[in-house]
Amino acid sequence: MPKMLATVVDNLVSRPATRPHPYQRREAFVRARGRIIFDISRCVFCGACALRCPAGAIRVNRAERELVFMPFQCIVCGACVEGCRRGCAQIIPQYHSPAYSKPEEYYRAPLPVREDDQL
Amino acid sequence: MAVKTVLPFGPQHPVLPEPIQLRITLEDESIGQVLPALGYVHRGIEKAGEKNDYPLNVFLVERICGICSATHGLAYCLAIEKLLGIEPPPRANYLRVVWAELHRLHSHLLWLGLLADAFGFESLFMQIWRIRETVMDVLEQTAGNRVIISVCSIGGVRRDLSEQQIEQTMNALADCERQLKAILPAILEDYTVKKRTVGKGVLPTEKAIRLGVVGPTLRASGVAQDLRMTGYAAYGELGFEPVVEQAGDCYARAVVRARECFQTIDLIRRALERLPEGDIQTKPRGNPNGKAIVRVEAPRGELMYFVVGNGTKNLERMRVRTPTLANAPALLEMLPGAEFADVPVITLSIDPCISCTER
Amino acid sequence: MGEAHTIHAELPDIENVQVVPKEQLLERVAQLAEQGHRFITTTCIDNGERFEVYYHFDRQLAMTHLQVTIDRDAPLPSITPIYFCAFVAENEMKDLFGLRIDGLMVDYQGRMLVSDELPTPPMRKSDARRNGDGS
Repeated sequence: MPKMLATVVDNLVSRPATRPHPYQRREAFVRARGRIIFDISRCVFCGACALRCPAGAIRVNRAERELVFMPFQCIVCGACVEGCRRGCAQIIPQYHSPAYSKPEEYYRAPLPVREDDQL
Repeated sequence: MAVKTVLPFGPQHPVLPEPIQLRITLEDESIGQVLPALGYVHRGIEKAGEKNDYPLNVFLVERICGICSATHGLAYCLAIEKLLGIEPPPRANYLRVVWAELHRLHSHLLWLGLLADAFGFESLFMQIWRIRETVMDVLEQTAGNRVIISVCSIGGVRRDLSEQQIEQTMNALADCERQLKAILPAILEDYTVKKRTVGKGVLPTEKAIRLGVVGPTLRASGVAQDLRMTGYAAYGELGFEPVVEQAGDCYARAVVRARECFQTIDLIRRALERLPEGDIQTKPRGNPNGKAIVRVEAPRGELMYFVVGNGTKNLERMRVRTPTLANAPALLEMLPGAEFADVPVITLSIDPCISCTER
Repeated sequence: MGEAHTIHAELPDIENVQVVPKEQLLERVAQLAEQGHRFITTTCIDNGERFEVYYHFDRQLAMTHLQVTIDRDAPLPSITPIYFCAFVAENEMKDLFGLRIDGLMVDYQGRMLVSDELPTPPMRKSDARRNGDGS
């Protein structure tokens, strides 16, 4: 019984093990694989990320200078981040919030302007 | 007078987290014959493994089973490394052990919780899963994900551990051990728990070997066999003694898993203490060619990968033998003659993982 | 039957493979069972022309493999009378490769994992992909 009493007292004074989720959110761990974002200004549209993606969540169109990313097909493995030499694909610890639809994300870069192209 | 009834147990049943059906022929309260019906979650991963490029398969095989995903990734990487003839650096080997053992720890805790749930011991289930949460937090801190951690890559590991993370892991392990020591006597010495498990689903040594059971189920039947004794990754340098129980009943299986929790904590500590310095990745070169078999110890038992390469980026064949595939036939021997009320406990005692079974 | 399992010296290969003709399979499996081997699993490999069926056994952490090479339409005797636990692996081969297995103790008629709608066994390679490398 005295053994039991210690547990009872312990449970009375300790805080609950859970937290009221939407009101109180846990700080994401620094190394957590939350989601992938693209810094398109650095992208050279080489397609290395699309080649490495096991889920086929990235499409790169070199001619149009366009990158299409499907965040709800992405498994956040980070293979694209390791494959990207320009630091365009990045991983952040914040998770994607739930959504009603699964929109694709389009990233477009303006065509580079060469000096002799100018009118 | 015995009345024969055929009763479908599953595919949706409170005690089974995953869909499998056992067609049970009942004679009054005792079980006559059992036939499993599979195929509810077959995904054709062996076939998909032939279509993907071999480096992408690492992410595929990790999704065969959530609970032992680190072990699947490890086994696949070991098999491909054998074919390519490369050797991961020593630090990578130790880190692989750390993550594989953390996975075993959370898997065993999950199972102990489910066992408590199968008796209807809800509060114990919650307590054990709270301990498991500390392990999940460690996994998220170190590897980035809670369950599918994808740390293994061909030729090494993808993430390194910093000094601070090693310290955090050590603290979490100490915390985990302390809480486990407080809680496990409640499950293992409890009168009700013993009443429900001792002498149920007995599997004698001879029969266990003949039925091909693996892992904790085999070790609970008095066979000291654990693939970690073969010393893959860094297990050979860490020193390892398998946990063995003699009784072969559901209680023995619970005791084996409970004792393995502590053994696993010790292994992780030793691996972290001896963690060598250096590189974590050897660059893979060429395409796999030839045949290789790798067997590793998953939380549920022996996991076998038979990989055939043909010199291209795609594999010729990838055969995965998961532990539950070997443990399931034993159910057909253990269940007949038992009481119907013991079906959940006996079924759970082999730690069935249906995603593994069907792939 | 004896020509199968060509060992390429330069390639990694599995050790301790015994090539067994189909007729002697049950006899050999019974011997292994007698010696206290534990059945691990079976693997079927479609090399484009024939099926290579491997039976994997374990005894005190050492593996033994039996290899049977058979024609795609030829029946293979079931080892379930000796190792009952082989029924899962054998039914799986039957489902996925359309391998004919005689004398299964628990027979799902090729419908253990796959549904009735499936026209052909999914793992069987089509004749068009016959690259003949035999690995």
